[in-house]
Amino acid sequence: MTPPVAESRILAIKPAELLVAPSSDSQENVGVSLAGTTGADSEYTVEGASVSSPSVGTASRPPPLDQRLSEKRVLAQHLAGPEREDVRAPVEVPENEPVDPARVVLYAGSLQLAVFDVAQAKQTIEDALEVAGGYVQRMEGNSMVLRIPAPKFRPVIDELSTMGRVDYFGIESLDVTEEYEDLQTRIEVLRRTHSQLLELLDQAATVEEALEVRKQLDAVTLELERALGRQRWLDSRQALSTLALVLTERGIDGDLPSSNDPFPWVDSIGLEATLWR
Amino acid sequence: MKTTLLLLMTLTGCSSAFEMKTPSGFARVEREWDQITYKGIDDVGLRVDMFGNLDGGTLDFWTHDLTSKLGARGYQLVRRQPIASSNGVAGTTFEFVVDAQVGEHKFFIVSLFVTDEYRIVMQLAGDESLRTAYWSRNEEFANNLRIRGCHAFRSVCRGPTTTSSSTPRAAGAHSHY
Repeated sequence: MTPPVAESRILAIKPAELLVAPSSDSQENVGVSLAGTTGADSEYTVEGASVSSPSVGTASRPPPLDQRLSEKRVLAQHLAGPEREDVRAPVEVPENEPVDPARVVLYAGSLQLAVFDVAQAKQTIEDALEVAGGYVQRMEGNSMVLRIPAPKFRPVIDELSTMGRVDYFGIESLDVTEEYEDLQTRIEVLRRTHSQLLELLDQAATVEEALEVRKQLDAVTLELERALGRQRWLDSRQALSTLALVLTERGIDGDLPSSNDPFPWVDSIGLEATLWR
Repeated sequence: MKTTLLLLMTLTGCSSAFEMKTPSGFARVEREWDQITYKGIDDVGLRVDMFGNLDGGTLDFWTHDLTSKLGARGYQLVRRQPIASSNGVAGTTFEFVVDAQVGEHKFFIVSLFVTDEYRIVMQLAGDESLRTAYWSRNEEFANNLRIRGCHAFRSVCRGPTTTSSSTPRAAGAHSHY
C-alpha cells in the first residue's frame, strides 16, 4: 500500500515550542500535539550550531549537499511511511477511542555530531535511549535511526548534542490530521459494512448467495485491515519520533575552519591535532 | 613555504628546526622534519610543530594570532606564562579551557616559541582530570626542546612576552580560575 503523501508546509515556531509533551492521559494515543501552533508542518534547521545555543559553533561547516540529500531521504522515508509495519514498538490503539481531533503531527529530526570517540558515543546514545524509553531502529556504520518517545524527543536531542560538536541539526514535522480523520471515517464505514455483510451471510439461503457475500466480506475485511494497519503505523510514528543521527569522527583530516586568512597555521592547531584515542 | 624551508635546511645542512628529547611517560609516534608527535601512557598527546616565520613575525604578533583564532573556535585562554626552551629561546605557554561543544572535557596547553626563522608550537592535550598534572610538567617538556633559527644581533628569540590576555571569550564561557 502506498501511503498518501501529506501536505508539507513551513511553520514558524520557536525551538522551545516544538514537541510539547502531551498530557499523560492522552499520551498513548496522541504522542505529540501542538496546541496553539499554526497547524502547519515545520522545518527547523540550525547548521554549525549548538542546539541549545545556536550562537556557538560558527566554525563548523554544513555537511556536504549529497549528505544532506541523503538525510532528507531518510527523513522523507520515515515521514511518508514505509510499506512494512514497524513491529518492534507497536503502539496499541484502543478501538473506538478517538485520537485528539485537533492535531496529528509526526516529527522527525536530523542531527550530525562530530565526536572524538565514535564507539563510545554510540554506547552513550544507546544508554540515553534506554533511559528515555526509545530504541535504535537502524544502525549502519556511523549512521543511526533512533526512535524516541515524542515527549522525550527534544530532551534526548539536547542531551546528545552535548556529546560533541553539532555540525547539523534539523527538525521536520508532517501534519497528517486530514489523513488520520479520513482513515477513522473509512474504518468506521468499513466496520459497519463488515457487520452488515456478516448479517447477510447468516441470512444467505443458498450456497451461491453465501459465496457471493463471502467474497464481498473478504474484500471488505482486507480493506479494513489495511486501514487499521495504516492507522497503527501513524500512531506509532506519532508516539515515537524519529531521529536520523550521523556521527563523524573528529580529526585533523576533517573540515577545518577556513577564511581568507593569510596565516592559516592555527587551523592545524587544536585538540583534533593533538589528542589520542 | 614549507618546501622552501626544507630546501633551505637541506642546503645549509640543518636536519630540523628543533630537536625534542622524548619525555618520560611518552613514546614517540611520528617524526617528520617539521613535526613530532608523542603519546602518553595516559593517552595524553604531545605534539611539536614547526612553521616558518615571516619578516616582522614576533612572539607578540603570533601570540595574538594564535589566541584570537583559537578563541574564535571555542578555546578560552585562562592562563599564560613565560617559558623558555632548553637553549633559551623565549616563548609563552597558554592554557585553554575548551567549551563542551569543542572539547568534550579535555585540557589543552600550547607553548609558542618564535625565532627569526621559525615558529615552534608545542601542544599538549588530554582528559580534563589530567590538566593540573600536565600544566606543572610543561616546563619539563620545554626543557627537552631545543630550537634553532636564531640570528645573531636580532631580538626575536629573546621575546618579549606580553602579559595581557586578549582571547575573545566564547559566549557563556567562564574561567576555572
